[in-house]
Amino acid sequence: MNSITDLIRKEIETLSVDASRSNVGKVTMLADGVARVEGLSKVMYNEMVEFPNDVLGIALNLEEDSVGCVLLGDTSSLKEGDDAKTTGKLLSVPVGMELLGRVVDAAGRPIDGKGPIEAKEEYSVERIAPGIIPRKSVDQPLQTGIMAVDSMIPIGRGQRELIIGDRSTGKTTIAIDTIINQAKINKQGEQSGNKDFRPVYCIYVAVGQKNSNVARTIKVLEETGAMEYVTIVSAPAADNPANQYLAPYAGCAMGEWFMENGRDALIVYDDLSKHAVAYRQISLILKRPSGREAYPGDVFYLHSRLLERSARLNEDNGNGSLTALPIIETQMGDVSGYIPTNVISITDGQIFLETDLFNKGIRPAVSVGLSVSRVGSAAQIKAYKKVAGKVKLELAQFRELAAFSQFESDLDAATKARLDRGARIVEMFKQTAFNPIPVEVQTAIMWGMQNDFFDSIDVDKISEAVSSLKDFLSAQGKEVCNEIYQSGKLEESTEQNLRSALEDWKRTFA
Amino acid sequence: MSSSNKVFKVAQLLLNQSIGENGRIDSEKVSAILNELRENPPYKHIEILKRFGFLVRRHMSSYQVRLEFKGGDGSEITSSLCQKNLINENASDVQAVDCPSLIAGFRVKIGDDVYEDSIANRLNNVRKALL
Repeated sequence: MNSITDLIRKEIETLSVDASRSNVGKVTMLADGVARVEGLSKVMYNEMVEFPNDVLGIALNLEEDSVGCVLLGDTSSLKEGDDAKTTGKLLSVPVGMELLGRVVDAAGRPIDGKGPIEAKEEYSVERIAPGIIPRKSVDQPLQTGIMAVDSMIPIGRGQRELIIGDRSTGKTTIAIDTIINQAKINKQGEQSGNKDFRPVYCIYVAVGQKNSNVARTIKVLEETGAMEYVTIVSAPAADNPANQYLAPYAGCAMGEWFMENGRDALIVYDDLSKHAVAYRQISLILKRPSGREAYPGDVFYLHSRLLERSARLNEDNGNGSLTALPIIETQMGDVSGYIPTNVISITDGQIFLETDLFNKGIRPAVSVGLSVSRVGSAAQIKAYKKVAGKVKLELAQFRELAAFSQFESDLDAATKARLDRGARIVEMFKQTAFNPIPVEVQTAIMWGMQNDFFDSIDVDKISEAVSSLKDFLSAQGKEVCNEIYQSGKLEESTEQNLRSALEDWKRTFA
Repeated sequence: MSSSNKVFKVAQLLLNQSIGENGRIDSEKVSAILNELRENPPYKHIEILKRFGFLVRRHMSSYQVRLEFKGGDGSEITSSLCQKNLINENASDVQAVDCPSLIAGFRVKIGDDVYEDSIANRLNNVRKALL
């Protein structure tokens, strides 16, 4: 009997007519963006499934008698008994330069009202991360423009640096600052006409966020002129969990295009806690076995396969890179939660933001003790490494001494000097949001701090002094800044020029 | 082996016992099996019956051919498909149905598989390409 049906199939397949072949099934259950379909016996894992009214789904659970599909888009028109058919395709999103300056959904469809995206290429959303052979060590810096980060927790191109902290501690601000800084560097590099200059393109993936927050982010990026280098992938809280689950992978595919075409890209996943929650919801509806905190067993793989796709490729493979800044929201500062520990173990370091510091007005509220960059220091420019090498240690010692000094009435001179220096460094690192500082200016400020130019200034006036020095350097200290920018080193002559520039500034500030 | 795996295995064995020499489900054999199960109910009787029912349905759909067409005569299309050995009228249950929604052309359903060459399908493809 089966041979007869096989014969029919074979004969029909060899017909010269343009008969299309598909595998069909019927919807037997619908719930919260997930459909269970009976039939679809030849569907493949992760294959796109077509439902009525142009609703698409992805086959995630292949069982013996049914298939579990997550649905994308508006599912309100679907009902039990509807037909579902295979498409023979994996979910793909448009990729390329055409996406820059656009806001798209998880399927790569534009949602900014600026018309269709004329992308020439499409990439599958789920792709295998680059292996060992095409990779290279991280050796180029990716400046965030935030002094506290660039000096103590430097990030390199191709690195995965986690931004972690409680709600309202400035996690998104750090990511947006980094994007704005890339845009500034890109513009500066393009104006310089340097052929070796490599711009960094950015992708911001918003998962489970309020639409108002996403709109605010877009506004900031537009106002700062960064939007032309950015693609925003939005799967807000109002979107169904399938879109929230897929958005980071879609954004990653867009970033991979830059990496595989010899360009540098930065991707921000804001945030992966909500991504894990969306995946938990899908998994529970698909009746997958649940584990700790009701997350499915493969929640580690969910994030590891995503973050492993960020890499620095070697010269034989185009020399491109994809840097990832995943964001995780902790509860009451608990970094030992399930998802935080998973992502901490996957990434190459973390920037931990503390609520206490934030409330004290120390912003960005970077916790020196808990933050680390495992590979970024290799990428720091020499000039900056020279001036920032000891800062982390000095600041950590300051925090420890400050805690003990509360009980001491009489302090020795060395301790007092260390406390004074620490307090000044803390003030120096205070920075307003969306106002990144170029690396050459940061180097000059840090050099000034290391060479005692700030010692005679009251601690509460340090922020003002730093701001004044910044203005001075951008107006009258351009030459020395350019010298640092061009050479990336602090030669003796550069240091002399820097000293005379800072002495000039000191006279005007005093 | 888990209990659900045992259910699946038993149901598969029952299906194998229900198939006649012509490869189709033999209703007499199915009746005999059901009588036997009723008299000697096994562990997880209902689950086994549900699974057995599903497998029987699935097997039957593999030789049930539904031909939907518009334009021409259904019996003519069927006989032309039979002449070309696409469908064996003796081995397959061919059900030909006039389907105006196709506009013109045909759609053949064999189990889960659908082969279609119709104007409606082509128009739908054009619509999707234009979206």
